Amino acid sequence: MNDTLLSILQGILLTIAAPALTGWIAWFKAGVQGRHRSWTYIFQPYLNLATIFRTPATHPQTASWIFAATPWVLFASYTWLIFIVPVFCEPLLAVDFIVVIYALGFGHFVISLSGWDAGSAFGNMGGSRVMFFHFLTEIGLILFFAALTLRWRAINLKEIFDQHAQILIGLSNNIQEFPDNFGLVFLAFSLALIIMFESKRLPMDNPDTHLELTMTYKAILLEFSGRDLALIEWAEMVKTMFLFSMFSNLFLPIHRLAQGMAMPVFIGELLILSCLLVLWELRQARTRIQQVSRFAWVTLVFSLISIILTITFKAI
Amino acid sequence: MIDTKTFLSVVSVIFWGGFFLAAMGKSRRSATTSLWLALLGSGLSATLGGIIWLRVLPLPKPIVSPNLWVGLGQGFKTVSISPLQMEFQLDALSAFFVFLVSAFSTIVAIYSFGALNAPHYERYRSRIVAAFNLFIWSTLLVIFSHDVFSLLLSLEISSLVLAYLALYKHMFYQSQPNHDASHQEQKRARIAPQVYLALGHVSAVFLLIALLILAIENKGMSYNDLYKQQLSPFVPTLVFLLALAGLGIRAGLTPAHIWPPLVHPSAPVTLHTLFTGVGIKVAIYLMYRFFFQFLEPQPMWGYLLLGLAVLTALVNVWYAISSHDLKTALAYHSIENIGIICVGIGVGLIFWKAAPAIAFLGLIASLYHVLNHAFFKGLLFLATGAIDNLTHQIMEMDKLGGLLKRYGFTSAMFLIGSVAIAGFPPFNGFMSEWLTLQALLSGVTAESTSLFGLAILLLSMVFLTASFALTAFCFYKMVGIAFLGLPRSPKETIDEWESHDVPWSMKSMMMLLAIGCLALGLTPFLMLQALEKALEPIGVDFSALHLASANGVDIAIPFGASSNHLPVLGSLGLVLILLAFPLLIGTRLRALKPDSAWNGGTKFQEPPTHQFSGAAASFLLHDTFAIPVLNKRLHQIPEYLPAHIEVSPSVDSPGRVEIFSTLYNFLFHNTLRMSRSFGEWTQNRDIRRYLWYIFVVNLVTLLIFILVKITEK
Repeated sequence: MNDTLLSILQGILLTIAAPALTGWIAWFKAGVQGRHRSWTYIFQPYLNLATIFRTPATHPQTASWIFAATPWVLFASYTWLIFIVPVFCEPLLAVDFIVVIYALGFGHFVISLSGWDAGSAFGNMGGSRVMFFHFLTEIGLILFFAALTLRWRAINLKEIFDQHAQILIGLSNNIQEFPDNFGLVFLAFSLALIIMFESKRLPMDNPDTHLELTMTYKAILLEFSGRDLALIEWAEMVKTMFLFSMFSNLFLPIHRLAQGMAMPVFIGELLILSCLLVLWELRQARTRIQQVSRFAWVTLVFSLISIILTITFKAI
Repeated sequence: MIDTKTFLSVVSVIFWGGFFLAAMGKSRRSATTSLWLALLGSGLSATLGGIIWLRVLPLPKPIVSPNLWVGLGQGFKTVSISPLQMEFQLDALSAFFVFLVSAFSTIVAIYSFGALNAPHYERYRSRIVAAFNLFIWSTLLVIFSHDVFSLLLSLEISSLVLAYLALYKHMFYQSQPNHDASHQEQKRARIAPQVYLALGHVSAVFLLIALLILAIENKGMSYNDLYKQQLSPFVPTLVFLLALAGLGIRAGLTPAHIWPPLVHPSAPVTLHTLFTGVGIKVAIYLMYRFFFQFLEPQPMWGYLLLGLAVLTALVNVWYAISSHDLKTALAYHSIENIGIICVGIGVGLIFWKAAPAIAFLGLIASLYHVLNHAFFKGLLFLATGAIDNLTHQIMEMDKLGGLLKRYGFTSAMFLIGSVAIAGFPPFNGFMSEWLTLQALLSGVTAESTSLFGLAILLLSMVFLTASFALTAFCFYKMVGIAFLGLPRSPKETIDEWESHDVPWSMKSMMMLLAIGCLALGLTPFLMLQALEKALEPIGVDFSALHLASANGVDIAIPFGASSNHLPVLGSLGLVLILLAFPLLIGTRLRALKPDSAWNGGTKFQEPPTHQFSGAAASFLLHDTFAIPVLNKRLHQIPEYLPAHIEVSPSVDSPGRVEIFSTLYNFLFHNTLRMSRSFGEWTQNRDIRRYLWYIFVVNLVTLLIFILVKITEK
């Protein structure tokens, strides 16, 4: 019972901490670009959310109940995901990755539908792009997880996380094991690209744009305001948090080994990952939308290389 | 104690009574009475099927007719051939399909009380009801039949009934001189029954050869003689290929997928539901019989079926995205789902001997998807039929729009169906797609899988996932264009539409199916236990499955010993329902400030043309993935089958070509051309050539005569 409570507490903590991660990325990016801000800027998203939450929401006259329901359904389907990653204790839920892929897809479906609802063309434009990205990331994710399944003979994410923590112990004892696990490096690249797709980062989508025609995801949000908008933005932050913690649990699971110090170590991992993301973003320009699919091919190829390496090492 | 003889005669009397009543009576009352008879008959068979499938009662006694050869004359008695006896029997597998067909017919029958009141059915009500009775009867007969002869006979009857029903739209256009259907639509309606009859008979020929080979090899026509016999070498593979061709055409596997999108929309909507929900599932039922009972499964067959199935899923979802008519898009989706079902069967074939646990997982996933597809596709079609009635047969998405605000209930039902078919939890489509993917993943990790098998399985997994994602895309597009946003037709047209939603006889059936979609999604553990019983006749031993981690992978069966998935899915469903819907009501109650939609800073004027069209929504996909037709000459072939897909009728676009129809057209065109030139060469109206023919024939006759004389001596 105590463990369950702790797991729930862990999920809630990650949900609450999610805006800070987004704030940190924005602060660090601004700093690297020469726009120095006070460190309190990290917590700016909380202020933003609080402000939007207090303003009354508007509802386009042309929209139906789908529009009103979208923020809640979206928040539910993303927040649910945060309960499957372990940080300082075992996660509340042990699911297999197919459920995760579909839960992410449900979010895409719901938000894109609401893009149709108001009847203006901007929402549809964003929605069709989001659904296109959904297609690209779904095949990327399935091949990525198929590579992991082939490697660990497990489709449950909890078991895969545990296996990855185990390798870290193995590697710290004996660096000779590294060649066996070389395929994981490619998988890490593959997942990193998928995370950029999903969290709308630069080569695929510009998170800071203010021009409707260049927006991918934000174009759907144009209609939302007040509490609805706040909920959607929070849901997006929670999703980013989930993706980052999934990445760190798979490829940087140091916090699983740090007894008692798990939380600070985990924060350190998130900081490192987001710094890498920002440094990568600095050198990127937004890709033309027709050419975004090339990144999806790259994820597929990386996963495929890893699968080939796994088979080769198994054969030896 | 139930007896097949009593049951079949009672049901036949009911359905034929309904048929004659409607066909002879012609009045409104006789049509209604006939519909009641159909309801009674299908209700009875649903009860029987359910009882036998779930083993509440033991299997009924079979009926075997006397030897039909005897009636044909004394001469046949001397020839030593096996007796020709018609045999009808039920086992758990066929009882499941009887249940599926007749439970579904019951639902459609109740729905038809309201649906057939629409003015455009006025002249055809009696004929539709008559054929409805006959369709249920012949489909039940296919499933009941337990020998080669009655199977072929009943398949033929059901083909003929279906072809008659596909005439409906053509008859409608003929009787209404001032309809506003395009030339293309009229052509589709005209050739639909022809295409169906042609393909149905090609399939019948393949099945006939396959069954005759089996009957000759086994020296018997009853299924009991055919089960798992030792056959001569190469015969099983030959029979498999023939059966795959025959059943593949009936189910619509990819090279033959051209017929359901043509034929199904030509039938009245209620029967369209039946064809898709259960009609093409008969071929799936026969696949279980042929591949697992008549033959001993071999891995290579499985790879073949798997490849075809994945291709079917991907190709058809692609054309579903391209089509702009609700019924055509849904018909394409039906075949896509047949592809998903066949993936499960393919996995079953591949691992039948090597890893039974994985084979059973694939088989049960396919059977689960058969059930689920009937539910969500039935729901979608009943909702589409309701909209068909409400908008007076306007089915083009680009002419609908904004239906959710106008017809709230029907549109909400369509929305539930589309979430289910797109495979999102907690609805039922997710469950079976999840099991299918798990079967493929378990196959990938199995010890026995060779490198070749690994490559095929991985590739088909990626393609299958791509088709799932494209399904989500397609329904995003369909729901968005037809049900959300603003109306896309001019105001005068919309004023002619019905002002109120459909009657309760239609609403209640849609609601029943929607609840079924949710219930099947939330109770996989109960459903799988029930479906196990249906698969027992084909020799599935489920104890292997319950042990779960047979081949290294922890197969996450929701009722398996080692998994804790049930609480997870339950909690997911609960989170979604408990969190989203009460709060949703809260949101609606909360006074939202009404405002106009954002239009880039300018005032939003509500011109319907400002909205995104379907072509615009799928532009990115087409732009990235559409394969350009390499050979320009393919565009110039006359279209025996309609091959051009208008992506958007409003935008001046070149349109797209349906590659497979174009290939058929190429084939027809060249066959015709070659036969014409051969005919012109042989019969060129020149007397000298005809004299030559006479000379050659005489010479050959003489030679034969001389040869015979020589050999006699």
